[in-house]
Amino acid sequence: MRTLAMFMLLGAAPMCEPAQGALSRAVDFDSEVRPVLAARCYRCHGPDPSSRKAGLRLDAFEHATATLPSGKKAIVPSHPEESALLRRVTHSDISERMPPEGHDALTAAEIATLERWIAGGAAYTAPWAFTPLAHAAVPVVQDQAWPRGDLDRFVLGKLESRGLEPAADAEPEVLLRRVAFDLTGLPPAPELRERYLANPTEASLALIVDELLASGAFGERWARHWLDCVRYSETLGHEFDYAIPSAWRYRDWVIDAFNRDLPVERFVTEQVAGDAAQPRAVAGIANNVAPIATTFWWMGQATHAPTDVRQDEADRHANSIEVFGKAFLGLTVSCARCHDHKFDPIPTTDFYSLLGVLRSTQRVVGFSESDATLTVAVEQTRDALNGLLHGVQSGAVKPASEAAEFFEDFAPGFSNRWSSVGWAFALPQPVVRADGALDADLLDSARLHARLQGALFSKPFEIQKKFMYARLRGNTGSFRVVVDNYWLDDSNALLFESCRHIPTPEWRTVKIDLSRFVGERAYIEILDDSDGVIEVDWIACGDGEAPTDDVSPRMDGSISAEAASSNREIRTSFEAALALAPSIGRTLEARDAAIGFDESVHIRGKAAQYGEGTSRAALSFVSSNAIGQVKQGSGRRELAAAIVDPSTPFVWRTLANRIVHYLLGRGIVRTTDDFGQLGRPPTHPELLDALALRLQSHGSMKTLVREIVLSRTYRQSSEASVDASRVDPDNDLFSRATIRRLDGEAIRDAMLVAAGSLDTRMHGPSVPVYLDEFMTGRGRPGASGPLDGANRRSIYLEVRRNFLDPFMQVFDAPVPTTTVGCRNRSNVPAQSLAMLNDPLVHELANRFAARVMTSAAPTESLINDAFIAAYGRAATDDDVEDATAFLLAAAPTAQERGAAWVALCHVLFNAKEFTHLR
Amino acid sequence: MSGHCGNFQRPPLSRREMLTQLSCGFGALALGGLYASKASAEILSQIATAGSLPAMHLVPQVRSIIFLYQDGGPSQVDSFDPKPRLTHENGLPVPFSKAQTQFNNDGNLLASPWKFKKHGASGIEISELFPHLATMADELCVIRSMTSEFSEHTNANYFLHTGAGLAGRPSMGAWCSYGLGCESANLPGFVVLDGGLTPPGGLDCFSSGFLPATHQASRMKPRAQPIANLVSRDSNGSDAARKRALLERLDARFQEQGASDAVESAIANQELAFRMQMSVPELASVDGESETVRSMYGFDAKDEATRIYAHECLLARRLVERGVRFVELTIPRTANDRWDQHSDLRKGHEDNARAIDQPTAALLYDLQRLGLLESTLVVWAGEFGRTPFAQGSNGRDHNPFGYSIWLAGGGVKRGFVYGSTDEYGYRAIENAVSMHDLHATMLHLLGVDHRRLTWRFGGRDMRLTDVHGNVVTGILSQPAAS
Repeated sequence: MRTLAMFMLLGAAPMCEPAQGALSRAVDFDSEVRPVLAARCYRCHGPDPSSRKAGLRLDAFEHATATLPSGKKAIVPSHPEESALLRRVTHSDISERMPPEGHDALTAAEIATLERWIAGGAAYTAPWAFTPLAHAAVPVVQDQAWPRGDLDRFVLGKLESRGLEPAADAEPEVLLRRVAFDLTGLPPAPELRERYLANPTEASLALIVDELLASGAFGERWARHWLDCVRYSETLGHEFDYAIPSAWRYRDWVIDAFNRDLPVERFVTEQVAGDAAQPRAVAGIANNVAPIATTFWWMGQATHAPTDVRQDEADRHANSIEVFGKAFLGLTVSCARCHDHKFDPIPTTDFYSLLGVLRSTQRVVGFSESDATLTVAVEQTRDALNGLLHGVQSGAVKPASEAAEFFEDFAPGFSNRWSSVGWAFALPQPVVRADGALDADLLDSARLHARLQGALFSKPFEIQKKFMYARLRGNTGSFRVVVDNYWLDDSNALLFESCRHIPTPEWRTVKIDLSRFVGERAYIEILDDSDGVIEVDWIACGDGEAPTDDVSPRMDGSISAEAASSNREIRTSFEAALALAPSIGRTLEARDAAIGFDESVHIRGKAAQYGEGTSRAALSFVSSNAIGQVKQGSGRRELAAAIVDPSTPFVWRTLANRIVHYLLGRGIVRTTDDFGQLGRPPTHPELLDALALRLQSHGSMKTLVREIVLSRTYRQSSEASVDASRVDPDNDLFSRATIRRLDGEAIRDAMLVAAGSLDTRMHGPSVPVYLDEFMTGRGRPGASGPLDGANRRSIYLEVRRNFLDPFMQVFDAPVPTTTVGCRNRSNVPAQSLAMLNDPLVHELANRFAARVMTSAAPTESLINDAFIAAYGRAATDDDVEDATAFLLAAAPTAQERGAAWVALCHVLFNAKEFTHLR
Repeated sequence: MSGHCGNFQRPPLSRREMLTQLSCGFGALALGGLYASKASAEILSQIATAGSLPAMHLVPQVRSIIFLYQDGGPSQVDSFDPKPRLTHENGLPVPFSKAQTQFNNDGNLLASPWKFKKHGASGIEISELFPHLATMADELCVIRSMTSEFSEHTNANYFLHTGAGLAGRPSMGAWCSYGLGCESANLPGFVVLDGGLTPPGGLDCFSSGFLPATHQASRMKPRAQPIANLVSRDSNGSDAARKRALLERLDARFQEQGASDAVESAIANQELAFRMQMSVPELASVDGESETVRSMYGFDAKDEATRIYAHECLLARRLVERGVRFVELTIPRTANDRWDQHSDLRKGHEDNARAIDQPTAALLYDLQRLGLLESTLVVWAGEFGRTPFAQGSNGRDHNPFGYSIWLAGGGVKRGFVYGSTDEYGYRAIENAVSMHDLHATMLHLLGVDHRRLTWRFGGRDMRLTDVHGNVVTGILSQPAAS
């Protein structure tokens, strides 16, 4: 009675009536009770101890039923009347009522649910997303003829239980347009349409689906979906919008991954730890494409000149952790940065475990070869040259007392303290130089050949001295101390002026002032990134002046005349091999630091205050037997292995759900990037697990796409029956297809197709963004790209954070900051204004008209062609009549015929049928 | 059907979805009790139950905000926060401990090159950089204890605009549009008048972030055709009418084949787009304004930057007159950089001050004259202030630890100075105001409790003020009642 009174007082209307016979029905904790507790109580009585009030936890049975300091118990199982929780949420005194003043009271329905749950014993179960994948029995359905597979049976089972029938199959033309856009982002080709309409059978559809899945356009379409999930961008944003070099290679990796149907396990592993994964060659692209995928980690925004470099590092990594959690796991791990997750079982140690992984990871330029010619030649040559040293008496002369000051003297044996990528540093000392001399006292990137490129990295170290000195010379590359993984000084050296040095032709000792960074972690990067050489004699550190020059050890000894002759032969043949090697591609990769680092919790997210220590890559919610303890390296390899382990459900559910989202218009879990308490629960949990298990068994995203597209569920018409509109107004049951607006990319691509302009070339560097007069600000590129984007598909248009394509933006292309697995589908006047007045739309309408008019066929037939091109269907009689009348009115004379057709084509683009999928 | 990834407890209803998608729809409904008389009680109750804003939280003091964004960070000790000690110790070493600066090229204490004078009945001290604005001193509520958390432009700009130091969050104006909508059926709720300088950090400063695109800023240039894609490319009116008629027939047939809210609202938006093609040029035309008004704003000023800002300020007034909720002005390009004088402080600040001084004063005067100042909040702020010590010999570096901004208009004290910095003007020492506090106060004046204007995204109920912010009650002309 009291609850009822309060309810009326609040004046809210009940939206959700309790289901009939509710009192007798068992309450499901996960779907009914936990959402109430999570939304209303966990903020102060949840898993996070830092914000817990009154010592009460309501997120676990043993805590919720414990005796409180007051002597009461929040929950007494089976005894709602004795449970303090119920008394408090229904209290008439607002100062006693929970949640406290300033928060809305629980609704009557929520209170009734809690009451029934406690009466039934107050059982707690794990949140659904954290439970293992489960095989559920496929429902037995009455209508045996409708389903084509288990997906349909799960959907139909639910529909029948609510007394509904599925919608009729969509008309063949509607279905074909839907399939073509969903699989390729492009309208169906006219000949495909003719073929299907001549024989609109399931078998014929299956053949067409296979054809579309095999086309390169499939990967171009689905890669764009994944790029949304990983905040794909080609610049860093902020003040000057510096480039993310080679970002497009990652985009091409994603396109290829979909087209080659890379198994899920590889798809995930290569992005997380492709540098440590089994190499994967793709003919003509790279000898090993796996490391390219690790650009994933470097797509975040970044700003130059941070005044607190460690906090800056933590902030950048926090974004990567957020994206990693959402994109692959469907979890908001980043919420645990300042405190334990308020709603999900993710302690703050999990966040810092991942931060340890990233602080043990280096962002490096990668050098990728399209086949192994160069690597093989370098290895053979190295071995041959080393062979010449047999029998040479060599002895290093150590320098005197000053040696203790040296960070590195590049004496024989130095190489085990350093590691490299590329080939420039593949030849350690001692070695026979090209002129036959022995050398062992300096680092020389051209020791084997000046054309070789590469980078050399020291082990990470803690900065203890104020200064570092290095003696350098050369004509390419750079020498850099990388502090707290800060790398943006290669674009803007402000505050890091002395950390990075370009060598000069004469020997010179550079001084690096690290006094601001004492106590920070750092490593040295020596880069040779073009033809030429960089040499380093020694590196020293100290609090005072630089050591005297030329103190490195020397090597004594000589080689025989015979060896000298071999030396010349070996080098000549290497020269020949080098001439045949394909050119080298540049990539942006992640790489393990030589020494890993376990991070401690930052209290309230501040890098200056440390709490509890963590072990890297040890996630509390991933079963401990799926992940070994990380002994060396960053732990990314172990992390990848753990999350793709069949015992770990997140990747499988998240990816299966994403595929459903892109095909059926919504995920089984609508919040595609959040499977936690504040997301939405699955509408068909058994189906989600069935699809996740399917994905796990075959590992093929393409197969899952095919299975869904060929289902009856997918093929339904978008027309809701009267019953379905009433019983299932929100389409929670998949009782029909959903009418969807096309993405901006698909709208633009479809216009290019209609215009006959689409350039279907795949891959490669992006087309510079077209800059209109509103796109101003620092970092604006010097020149605009072409209005028509060189007619390439939209996925090849450059994505610059500070200069995003306004046409794409207005159609909800995401701002690349975090995972957006489910784009907004807004509907704003600016979209209409763009279609009405954007110069691109007019340009393409011009070309569309010109293309239609090349035929000498009668007007009626031209109109029909235009409708097929725009809408994938023939013109109706009404259409022909309206269009004919329009052309006549617009072009009373023959001279005006062209302009009239342009106007007609422009109208066809603007009609909702063009931008929407039924 | 849901356009928002299930951010609601229940998915939107058909009628509601259509309304949410009109440019002013959602907001008008979200707090519709106050402003949107058109919204029916039925729809409001649906919204309420759907978990978005249930009702107006507080009695609003103003209905619009004009944000005069001072790009680059004007110097507090050269504008609104006089520091005699700085003058006396000019050129001496810095006697206090200071944080890392952006350019790490700190010099000695640097006196202001400009004299301060008390102005108006209130006696607020304003430097000679702003002679026009000084005549409006009694309207100003100067906060001398503003703080930020970032020393770098873009972080600080995102922080000022969105309450977070990284890109990706909705801008203040987007939150206001989302929360309150717009009172004009033909104009968007959040307009940025583009004076020529885009802030470092780019258009993300004006983004709707995770809010629907409806709420992102519409950028207008101070000229006859202010927004992109507004001008019909059809050669004459009858062509346009013919096209529109055909379009309506095609759309009607498409809609007949299966009613869809998405299509229905797209059609409604097309209608609005056609209306905007008419209403926006009307708005942008200042031909109807008297010569007196135009010259008061500075339309005939010698300096081009002043003329541009004059046009912006006049448009700002015209926008709030028409019910636009949030108008932000970016500053014009001067011969020098934005307010970011790392060197040559004198020339740079004088150029920037000249550009904005007269138009800003005229805007305040004009709003007052028309009775609009009571229902408008004008906020003048940069992303941070500048150091009281020199950068190099004659510049100042960024300083987020204490700087000056001012507010004017409804709900805030007039002729008032709040808070103070230390005797050198480096750190706020009394009544420090954080960015979240400023945002909380702005929302408060609009009648919104900043803790309750939320949007579910990425597993959290996001707010403009994150988990922080306190209304600065000390500057309110009426005691805060929540």
